[in-house]
Amino acid sequence: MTGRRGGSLMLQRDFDHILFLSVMGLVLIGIAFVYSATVENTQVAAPLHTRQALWALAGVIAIVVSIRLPIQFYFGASYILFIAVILVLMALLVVGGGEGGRWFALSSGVRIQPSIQPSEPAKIVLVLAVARYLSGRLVNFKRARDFLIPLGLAFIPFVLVMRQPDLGTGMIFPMIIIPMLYWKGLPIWIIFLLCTPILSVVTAFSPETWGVAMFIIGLVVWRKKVKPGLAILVILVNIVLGILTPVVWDNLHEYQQNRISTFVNPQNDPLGAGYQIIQSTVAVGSGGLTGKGYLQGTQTKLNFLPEQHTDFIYSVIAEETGMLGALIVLLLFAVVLQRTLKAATEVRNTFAGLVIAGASGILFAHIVINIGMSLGLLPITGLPLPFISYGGSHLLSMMLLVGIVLGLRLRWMEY
Amino acid sequence: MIGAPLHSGRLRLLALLFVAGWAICVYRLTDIQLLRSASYHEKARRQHLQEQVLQPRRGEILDREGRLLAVDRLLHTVGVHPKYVTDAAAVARGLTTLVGRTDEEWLAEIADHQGYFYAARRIYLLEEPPPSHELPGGLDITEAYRRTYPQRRMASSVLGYTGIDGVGLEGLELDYDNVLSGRAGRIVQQVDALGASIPGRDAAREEPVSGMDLRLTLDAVIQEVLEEELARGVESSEAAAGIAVALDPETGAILAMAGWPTFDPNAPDDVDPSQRRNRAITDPFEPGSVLKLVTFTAALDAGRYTPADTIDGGNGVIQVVGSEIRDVHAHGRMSLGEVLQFSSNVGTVKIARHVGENRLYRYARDFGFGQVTGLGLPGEASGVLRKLPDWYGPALESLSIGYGISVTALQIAAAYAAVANGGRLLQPWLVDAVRDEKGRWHSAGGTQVVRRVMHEETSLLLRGFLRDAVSGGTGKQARVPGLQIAGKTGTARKAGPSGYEAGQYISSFCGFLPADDPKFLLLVIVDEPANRYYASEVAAPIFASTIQRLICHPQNPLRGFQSSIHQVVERPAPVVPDLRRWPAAEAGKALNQRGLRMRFVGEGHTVLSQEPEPLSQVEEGVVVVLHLEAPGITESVSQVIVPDLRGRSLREAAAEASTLGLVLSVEGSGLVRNQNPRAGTLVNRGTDLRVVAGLNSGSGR
Repeated sequence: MTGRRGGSLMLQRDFDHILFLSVMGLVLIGIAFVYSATVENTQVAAPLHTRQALWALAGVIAIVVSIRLPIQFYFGASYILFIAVILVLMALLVVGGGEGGRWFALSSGVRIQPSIQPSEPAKIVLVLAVARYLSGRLVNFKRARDFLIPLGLAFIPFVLVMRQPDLGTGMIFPMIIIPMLYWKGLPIWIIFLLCTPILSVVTAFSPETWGVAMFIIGLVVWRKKVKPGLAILVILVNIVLGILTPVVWDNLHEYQQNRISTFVNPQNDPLGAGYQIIQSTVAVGSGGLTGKGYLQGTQTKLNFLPEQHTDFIYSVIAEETGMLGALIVLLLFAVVLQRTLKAATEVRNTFAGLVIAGASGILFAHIVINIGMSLGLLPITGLPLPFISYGGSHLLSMMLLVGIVLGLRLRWMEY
Repeated sequence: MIGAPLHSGRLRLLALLFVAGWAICVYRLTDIQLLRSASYHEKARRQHLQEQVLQPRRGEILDREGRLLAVDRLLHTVGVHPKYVTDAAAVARGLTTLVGRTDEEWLAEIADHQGYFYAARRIYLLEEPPPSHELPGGLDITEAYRRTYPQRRMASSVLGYTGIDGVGLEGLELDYDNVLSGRAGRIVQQVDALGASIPGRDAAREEPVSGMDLRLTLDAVIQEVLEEELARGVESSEAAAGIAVALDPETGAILAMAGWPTFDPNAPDDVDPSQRRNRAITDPFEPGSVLKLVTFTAALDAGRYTPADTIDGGNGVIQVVGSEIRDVHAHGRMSLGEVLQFSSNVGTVKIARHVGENRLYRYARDFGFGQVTGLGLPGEASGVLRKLPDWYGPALESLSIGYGISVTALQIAAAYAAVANGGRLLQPWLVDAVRDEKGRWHSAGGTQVVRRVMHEETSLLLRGFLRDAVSGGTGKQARVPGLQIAGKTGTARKAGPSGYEAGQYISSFCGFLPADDPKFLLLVIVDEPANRYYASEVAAPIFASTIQRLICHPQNPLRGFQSSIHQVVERPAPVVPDLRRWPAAEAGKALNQRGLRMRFVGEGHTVLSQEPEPLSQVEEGVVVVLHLEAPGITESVSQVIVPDLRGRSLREAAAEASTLGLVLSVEGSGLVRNQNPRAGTLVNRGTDLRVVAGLNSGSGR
């Protein structure tokens, strides 16, 4: 890849081999463990590794193609793609797809494989659109509008995906935006204030803790000289949430309370909602240091581990290869993130930097939420593990994302 | 690089966030995969490993000729796990072959069920099941043994019975439980999240060790005949209960031990627990005249009397402290032998007074009264023999005629055996040999002399007296033409809460034969006969009819007592077991075990009749012909013959019906009085068998 292409200067040494190879390593690990999770699984008709491998091949093609596209292409297409994806998501809500509405059957009527999950490309497109908004003009975060509009952009797919309903994927959209805003220079205390409602809800059950939280919020508002209007709004919202949350809790149905309390303590309901968390922890824990051996995981093979080829694939790896294998996967992910973040600082083009920052946000959120769930640290959200979990749309999207990062990194000298 | 300063700071913070995320994950991995790995490993093991206990086959109990008295029969439970059924047609076909009914019905059942269900529980399969790895997916078969007493009520009080878990609860089953029970094995199996075991993934398998077999000294032919005669005698005299014990007087081996009423150990809970006891050892009683033997032994053995001495019977009455003792008929002057022959109370009391208290007590004690015999069965009573000075009233006189002492039937039999064998008290024994899991027999019993009770000459004199008592005295009813029988009757009044009660008697007869060289001893006791009470009319005829039937029996079990019977034989001479109503496959195994060959006639799965007859003795390698179900019926492997359930308990009926694959529907409770279809009808498996039960069907007795 030497020479000028599309008016850009590209050098072979600027291609991030380490990032590319790490990703390919993860993809291969994914195929191997999709095989392990599905080879003797009575819940799937046949092992799914071939299909995963075909999707990976498509992903490689996506990388090759996306590398060749110039920055201007992404910049120019971002809004159009965003609108297109929003329309598809809306259509999905109206038409309805398979499996809880997340999937879009390619042919109408009979659902045939492969079907695509539009929420996956929506993550990439949102990053492109927000990056374009934040880079396209002089953004001044002193004006609330300038950070509220990107949040509004994220809010649209968030609501549409939540309605499918897919809580886990929906929450991803605002989470992607926050690192981009931060990257663009949004002060950390504003991000903190944006997050305070969550803090209030969580601490509302213990008056003392909530008092401490309110004190910190007040301290931030006072020290950072927040405008009176905004300050009053923030304080008011938090007080109302703090008072309302216990009231709302008491009025929740018991099963709704159970769902939440089960996350806090899975042992409350070991056969119901807590089952998956407990089973995953048991699978990981029983793997020990070196694991039970490839294809030898008892909890995997005997179906104690739920959703093992999708949500809980990391638990399969941890059970069969033990802590060593689990750490190798974590290490590869760390390399991927480190290379991505590094690329974000290296590219000169603001748009490109924001896209890469958003990409690292997507990757980080998926990795931490999925692995945290597998290890019983976070609630079950159904977010896949990038490059590894079985699922065509997700694998293809994530590889495309890496392709975009590689392509933008290659053009780091362009403004 | 407009944003460079900004970005390096921001990068640091983001990097910090990422590192924190990673650190938490690594911490968690370390925690659960290193520090707490063992506990999670154990949790995982508990989830996916399931231990299944493999029940060992309980040892068989055989009679002295190797006839089966108790045996474990293999039952199967067939279950279906619809989620694992890949080929429903194959599963349905398998079920039809093994359990019966039709493919269509099974297909419907499989479709109906979401989770695991039993197609049949604890039944005899129609065919030998294939090994588990050849079963179609979703079908599983587990084995279990059921303790079965093929001779039903025979010797039930001796054998005892087992509980539902196969643990001995009474009789030999309890006493020899650790010998019979064997050792359980286990399979540790991998099971999946739905609880289904994974074929071919047994983590560990420990085979069960079968229990050891017992060979008893009992003779099933004698036992059967004795039980029948005892039951008949008890019923014809309208008595409350009966006890009988047969011994080999030369060895002390118990040949038969019967009680009435009796019970079926296949369903021990159907009767009151009191009916299940072994009366010959658990029920002490005041024996009366049979115990005059002790007085005569003491009189002769201590040299106080010779057979030439005579005793004046007076006018049939003798005064004792505060009372008087009478004879039934007044006798004049009698010889010593005649006192015993006519069972004169007056004469016996006079003799006893001359013998003296201490001497009489010592002989009673030497005969083993007041102490357990040491047979070893649970619940044996010792009876009561008090030292004479401890008594009030006419102690010496009472004891001399068998009152004021309580004894068990087995103690009396052992005492008479001592007279029969020349004066030695032998310990009665019941278990002859134990066969270990390799098929080797080990001797487990033998003749044990407890003590010499009398000189041999005394025993010879006594035998003569007892022979005369049968040939010309009170025991005349015990005579059997052509046999020299010696014996003594006893008719004891039963003591109630307020003294001896009118009309309540215990009639007994103890005799042995041949009188000059005794080989067989039989004691018969009838409790509370209602329509006549003299032992000569109640117990002695039972003795005679039993002997009569035994010597006429084709296998004449009284013939072979010359040879020592407790020798350990490597392999008992084969005897054809009673295989009627057995599943064909089981019958084949049973014959094989005994070195017999077999041939099936007809088609079906249950043995209808057999040649040679059950319990007949044959040579090794003889072909036993088994007629299956309905001879000549070829088209219907799933047809069965309706059994005759009338007079059986509902439990028995239900067991029988399930064995045959019939669906029992019951009306009423109690014993089965009527049934439809009637016995002998050929019906399909799964047919409804309606029975009407009533409470008082026993009143016809």
